[in-house]
Amino acid sequence: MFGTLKSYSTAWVIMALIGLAVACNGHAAVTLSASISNKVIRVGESTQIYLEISSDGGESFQDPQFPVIEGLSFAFKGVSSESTQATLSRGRITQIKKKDLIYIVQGDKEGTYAIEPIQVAVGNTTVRANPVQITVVAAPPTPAQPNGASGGSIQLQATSNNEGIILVPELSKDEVYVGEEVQLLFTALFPVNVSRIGLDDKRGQFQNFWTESFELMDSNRRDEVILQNRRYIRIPIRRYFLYPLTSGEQTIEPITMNCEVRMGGRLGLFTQGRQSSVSSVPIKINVKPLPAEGKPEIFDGAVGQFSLSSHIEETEVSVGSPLTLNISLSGYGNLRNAPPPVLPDLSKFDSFDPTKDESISVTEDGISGTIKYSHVILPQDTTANKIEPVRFAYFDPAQEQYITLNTEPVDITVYPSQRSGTRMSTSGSNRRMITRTGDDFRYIAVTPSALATVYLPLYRSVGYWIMVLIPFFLTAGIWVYQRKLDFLQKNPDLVRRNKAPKLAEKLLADAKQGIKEQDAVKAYAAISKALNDYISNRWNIACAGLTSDELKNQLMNQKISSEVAENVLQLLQTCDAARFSGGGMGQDSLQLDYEKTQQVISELFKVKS
Amino acid sequence: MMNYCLRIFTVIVAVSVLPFAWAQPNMLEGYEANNDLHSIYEAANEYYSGGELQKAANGYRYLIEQGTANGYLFYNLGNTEFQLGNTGEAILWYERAKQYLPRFGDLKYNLNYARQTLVDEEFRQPNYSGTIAFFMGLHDFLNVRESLYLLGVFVWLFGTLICIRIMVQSENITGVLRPALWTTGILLTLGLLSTGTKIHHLYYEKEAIVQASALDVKTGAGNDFSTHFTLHEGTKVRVLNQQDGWVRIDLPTAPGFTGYVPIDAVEII
Repeated sequence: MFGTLKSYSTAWVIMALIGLAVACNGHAAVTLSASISNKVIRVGESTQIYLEISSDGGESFQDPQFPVIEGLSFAFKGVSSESTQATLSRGRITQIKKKDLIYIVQGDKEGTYAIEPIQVAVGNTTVRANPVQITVVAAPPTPAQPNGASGGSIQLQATSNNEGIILVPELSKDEVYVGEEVQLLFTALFPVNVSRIGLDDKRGQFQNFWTESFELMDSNRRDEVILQNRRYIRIPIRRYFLYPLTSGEQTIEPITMNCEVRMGGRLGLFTQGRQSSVSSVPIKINVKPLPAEGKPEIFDGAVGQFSLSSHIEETEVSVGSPLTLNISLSGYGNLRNAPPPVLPDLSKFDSFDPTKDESISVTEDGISGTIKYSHVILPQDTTANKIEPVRFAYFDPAQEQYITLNTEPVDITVYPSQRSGTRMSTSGSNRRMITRTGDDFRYIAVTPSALATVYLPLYRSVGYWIMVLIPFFLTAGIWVYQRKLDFLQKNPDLVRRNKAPKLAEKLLADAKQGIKEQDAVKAYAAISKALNDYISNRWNIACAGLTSDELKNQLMNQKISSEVAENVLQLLQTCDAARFSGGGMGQDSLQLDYEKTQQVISELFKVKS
Repeated sequence: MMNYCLRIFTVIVAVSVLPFAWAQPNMLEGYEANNDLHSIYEAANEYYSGGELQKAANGYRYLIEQGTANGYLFYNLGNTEFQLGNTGEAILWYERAKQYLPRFGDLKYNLNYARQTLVDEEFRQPNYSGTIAFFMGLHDFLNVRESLYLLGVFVWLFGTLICIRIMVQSENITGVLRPALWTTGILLTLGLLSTGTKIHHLYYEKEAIVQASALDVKTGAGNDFSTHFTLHEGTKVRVLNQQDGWVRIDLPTAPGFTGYVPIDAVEII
């Protein structure tokens, strides 16, 4: 019975595990994300939408379904990557399938479009991508075709140098309005191999212009041209986007292109470089003032092509509760210097300073992007139930007229406040002070140590330098001492010679003690030892075992005078006599011998080695 | 006669002291006269907590004017100025506090918070990544004072190891000492570089914060010159030189952006 029960239990556990695995498989995560390469395009232009589909259940994907949006066209471009990966996790094999797709979207009509939702069927489920927004603005004006101009641009006078390098400036137009974009392209033609190409534009050549530039020097843009039977490599260098700041004839002073001409060695080895440069001619642009006629009251200098949109996140709030008014200004032109859109009368609202979020890109075609302003406003009472249109005025050089953009008015419903006395102010003016709560702004430091003055430039204090320099001096001292020790270790005779005077001095002190104690044996023994040791240490002469004559000779060999040598011998003999005769010498003669020994040692000390 | 002299002396002393006696209560509005620095600091903190920000700012400023140089005090003043809506002043004091408290998390957070509100978004400091970020993190970890102390420790360590190396001749000890010497030597060199760079940056390179809400940067030192570009409150600039009430500035993170601004439109950090 127990056996049957056990087998049932085992079967139940296995079935539960299988069920769990199936359940886990049934909840496979499928994700779909969408992104766009350029959020602002002109009418007729296209950009790419990237779709990334990922599933950890290994299901196959169907083609994405795009919504039908009037003003936009979609087309499939291709699959950029596709991968399947199997992983073993917690005893279960998981198959992760990924696919990256690229679609082309073309702007057919001006406007701001929210592309949502892009759907993809994965297995039995349908997943939706995140919304993507795109703004289509008016197409740029076709540049005027001046005499001799081709390809929509004006080719200016080319310049060349001794190497035959040619610099060609091209201007998109030579007559523009203040603030209107004008493009200046520099292309160079090289008959020789060059490297390190650069344009020197840091000398204030673009006075009275606000400039941006885009580098073009990549290998994909290079080509070969034949000019007067000579082969040239043509390289576009840089494109400038110029925005005139004042009217009148403006001159761009010459811009110099520097490069290094490669002087080839055999097989391309050992090449050498030589600096070469070529300057452009001065470039003149006629800048017209903006027309006074038709200028809107709210116009504040914006020139280009713009679009404006606004939206509010909540339309039903109570008094004193915040609303966020989001305004989006997109377009082509000098966006960075564009003035903010003009807000409607918000006297029935308390408002804070807006936050600004810029997304501006410089591409080969120009400067485009979006600036988003977020205004937090708080209705003061229930009559604050409408937000009038936000306005923005600009001059469109293509149409040569001023355009005023207006957003749609927004109706809101404001309920009476649930709390009493919560309204913050009735002034209605923009208030600067923002009281933040929670974790968004950190509190002051209340530590008492805030009053302790901290002296940062410690390097200006003498004490610091003393502390830092001590190790250096210590190291130097130890090094010198160690060198001296090593030297003395290698020269023991020198050590003994140097020690000889001190040792003699010490033994003479013993002799003096003997005289004081009236101990003649002790005194003479000390005198004898002082003389013997001094001579032995100083000249390495062992006095013991030498006859008087031998000792005298040896001393005289050391350039000691015979008189001093005689005195030494005499003193040694006196000492021997006194020591071995039992000390029968008188106190006076002992004192005399002591003084004589002092004198003799002093004389010996003067002898040069 | 003695009595007469004493009277004259008393009158002279009273006349000398009187202006100070009048001036003292007006020096710091909202604070009790004759308060010590600690009491003023506590009162300023209380004013901040109570929302009386201008009084709090006055208190902190007074303490700084009395010669207190402390990162926490600068940070508190930065917070107060930011709450008052003076972003330029706030960033100025945060930057000054950062020189003292490079690791103080609240300061980093609030400085970053204040920077988010700047108009000149494109001129923000670059964000490093990878190895550069690691070394920059090490470099920014200590303030100048701490760096100098650490450098002192490295010098002592290196000196001690050199002394041992000189005195001890044993091959075994020499073998152990060699890698230790190399390591300490490299640390000492890096410490020297980092500290030197820090000192140069703090005391020989002048940086300033724009205080005007919008500031036209001119191509020359005068209002007659054309505007090269425009900066806004709170943007950090590098001061290159001074000339007739104007300073020549540039933007360390945006090469090519250079020009002249009136000296009172920026505040040196």
